[in-house]
Amino acid sequence: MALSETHGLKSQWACRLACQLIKSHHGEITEAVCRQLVTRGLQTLPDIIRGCDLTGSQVKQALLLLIQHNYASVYTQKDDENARNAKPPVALYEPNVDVIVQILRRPRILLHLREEQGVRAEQVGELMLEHGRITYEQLASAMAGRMECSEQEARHAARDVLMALINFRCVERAPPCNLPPPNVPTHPNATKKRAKSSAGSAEAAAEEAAALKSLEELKYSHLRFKAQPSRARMGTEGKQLGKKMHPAKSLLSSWTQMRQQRVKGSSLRQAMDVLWRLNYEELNRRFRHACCVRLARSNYDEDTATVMEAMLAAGRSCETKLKEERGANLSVNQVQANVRRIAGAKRRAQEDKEDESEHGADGLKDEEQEEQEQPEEVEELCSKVSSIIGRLCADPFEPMSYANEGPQGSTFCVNMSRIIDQLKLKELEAVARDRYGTGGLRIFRLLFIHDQLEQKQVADMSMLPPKETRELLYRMLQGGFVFLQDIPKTADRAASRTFYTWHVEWEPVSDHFSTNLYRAAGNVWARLQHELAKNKELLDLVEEAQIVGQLTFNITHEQKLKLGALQRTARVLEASLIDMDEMIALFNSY
Amino acid sequence: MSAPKAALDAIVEVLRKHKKGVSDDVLQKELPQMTPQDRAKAINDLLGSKRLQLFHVGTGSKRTMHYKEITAEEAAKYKGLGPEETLLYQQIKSVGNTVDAGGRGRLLLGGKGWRGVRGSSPSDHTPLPHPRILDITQPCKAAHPQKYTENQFDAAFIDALRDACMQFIQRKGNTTLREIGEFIASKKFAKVDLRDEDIHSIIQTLVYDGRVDTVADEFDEEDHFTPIMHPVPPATAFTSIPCGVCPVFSECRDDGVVSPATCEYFDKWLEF
Ligand code: SF4
Repeated sequence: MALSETHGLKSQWACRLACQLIKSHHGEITEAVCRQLVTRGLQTLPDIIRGCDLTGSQVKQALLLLIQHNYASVYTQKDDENARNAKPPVALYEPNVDVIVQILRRPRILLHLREEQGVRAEQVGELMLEHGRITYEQLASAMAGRMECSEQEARHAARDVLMALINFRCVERAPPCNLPPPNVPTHPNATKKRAKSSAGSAEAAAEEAAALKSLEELKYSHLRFKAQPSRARMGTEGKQLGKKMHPAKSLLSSWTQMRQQRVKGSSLRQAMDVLWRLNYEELNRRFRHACCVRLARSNYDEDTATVMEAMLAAGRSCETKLKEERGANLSVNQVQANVRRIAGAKRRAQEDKEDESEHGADGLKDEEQEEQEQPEEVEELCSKVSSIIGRLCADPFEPMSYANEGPQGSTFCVNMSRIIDQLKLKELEAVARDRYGTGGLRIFRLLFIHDQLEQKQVADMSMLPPKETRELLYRMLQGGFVFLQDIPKTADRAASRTFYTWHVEWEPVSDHFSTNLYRAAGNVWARLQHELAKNKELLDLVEEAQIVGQLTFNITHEQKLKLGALQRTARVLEASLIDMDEMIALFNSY
Repeated sequence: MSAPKAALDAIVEVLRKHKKGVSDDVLQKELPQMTPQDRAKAINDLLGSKRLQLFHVGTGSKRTMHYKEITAEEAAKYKGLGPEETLLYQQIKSVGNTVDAGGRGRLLLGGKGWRGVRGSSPSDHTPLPHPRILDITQPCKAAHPQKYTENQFDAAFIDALRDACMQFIQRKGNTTLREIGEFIASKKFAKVDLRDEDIHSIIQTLVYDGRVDTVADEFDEEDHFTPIMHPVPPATAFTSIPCGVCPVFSECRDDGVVSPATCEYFDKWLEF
């Protein structure tokens, strides 16, 4: 990962796309505040007001909107209470550029929720995207409006789906605003080299304190996926829900008890006020896993893809960060159990779908029973698990590898980073081919395999004419696909006594390309907005008619043609943006 | 003094009758009225104007000199070569790739930029690459009926070989350099046998093209070649939009001379 990315700074093109998206979704004032945030990073309210030429109340409104939609985070910076001259706590605001650009990922998120959890989950997802953060009460009443059923039914449905989504970690509690600001490490070049601080010294104590999580952070991480405090206080519904929830006493319980000892009325209100939001990290993790499974399917076969899927799903809850290098270590028996579980879940989902389409009712069966009655093909696949894992471990590309000896025998893990890097490389190769022709692809792969080569060597080894090779190399240098290095033979660095070698450096190439992706997506978005602005009058006419509720309204034949063309154009551009988002996710999020 | 035109025509007529070439004895029998001096003068003139080719038939004491007419197409290949280089070229052609090192440098010097001979092992970067003759035979001509110029000549030949290798690898699934070499030799793509290094270089270009994988085999030392397992995707989202292949991508700005709003590439792309 590039240093800038690790330090929370985003490329100017990602920021431009973020501002474009905010402008078209939330207007110009919000965009101005967003622009100030993305250009200056973490800052206080007075700084934002000073930086964006808006009144205080406008900025506050815009900030609230950005926080509500999770496009900005708020932190509280506190001085040590015991310190002399301690300043009062101050709120700091930071943009979430990643979340903003994921506006483009919304269709994929909703599709995923529908496929994994059903139509109700998609509806909940839609509401969460619409509101950003939402309480259970708000969700239930919004669901009632959408479902055209009694309020009680809607509440039950909202509760079940919300619980399921929390259990799957697709929904989380919104973080409180009293979290401390993230610890931004200083760039190594900006600090003087010092001897390592000795144990017991003041520096060492400061380093340790920075590494420790604050109490607020610990509280949040314990509560993040817990619905218990809400459950206990949801009145009659709480009891019903209790059956479905994890019974385990968590670390949270002591904290909950402490709170219960306080004024009961206020805790009840607090529990009902818990704000829930979509967990983009988990959703992206699932998309990342889906990429690995897709590669297994295209490179190997369906059985290998199912085994890979089972392994990734089994280790999902153990992953602590999104860009985890490897999956969990699993034995063959554990993989087989997961294959059975996944096959059972898939079949149930299929049957539910068929039942729904036939009778409109849900035909849920007992899960235990399902686990036992596995069809023959699943058992056949389970018997092949060992050989599939062996094949993947023996593959030179090593999508899977032996981990260690566990209580259940040898364990294996999926090399997720390796698979993702392979996918990135293939995409880059395809781009090199499309931009520079097969010659370009050949040179790119040649330099990737052999590293430093002189121009003549490149021409000879790629069997391309020297003139074409030279032209391609310089065009690719300009495009950021290859690099040129000079190796002087003498101290005067005279060109005639210097070797010039060409090479490909994976990380800079990948980083450069990922910023190009944001830039291209920004261009498509700008074009879409331009097309819509060009036909604003016509669109206003249609909108007016829709507001009034007219089904048919008078437009000329010419206008009709124009409207049709605009619809086609918008569809093409939007589809391109969704496709581009997959690439953006591959190169930036995974 | 040059030989009379009648003598030259008479010899050419005899050579045309014997397409595979004739010995001096046969010439004497066919042209009894021509004196040996006139015959020698006419042969020298024809050699000088690259209309005649000399070659040996038989070995040891039975070795005899033969003459053969050079076609207009072949004569074009000898253009720019002196008599010595012409003979050396003919020698390389007749014996494949084994040629004494003495003539090598001269030939390469004389033949630099000349389309018939080139270094045959581009990967080893030796200062004096082994000369070889690239001779386009029927398959390449069929595929590329146009008139060849310098590099196209080699490129067409190499492309034909590359396609043949690729088809063979795809058909076999897993094959070795030796097997590919045997296949190429059996199909007679070149008039001379190609060396293993030449075929290896060609297969390497298939590896660089992302069409072939090199795999090590645990049972033998040889490199094995298989069709690539993870091919380069046929299209990408980035290059499916105009910006992905735009030549002015780096100059494009929202408020610049080139901008997405005024972009002609988008105009064309959105024309349905
Ligand atoms: S908007 Fe047009 S000019 Fe700008 S980068 Fe894209 S294709 Fe090129």
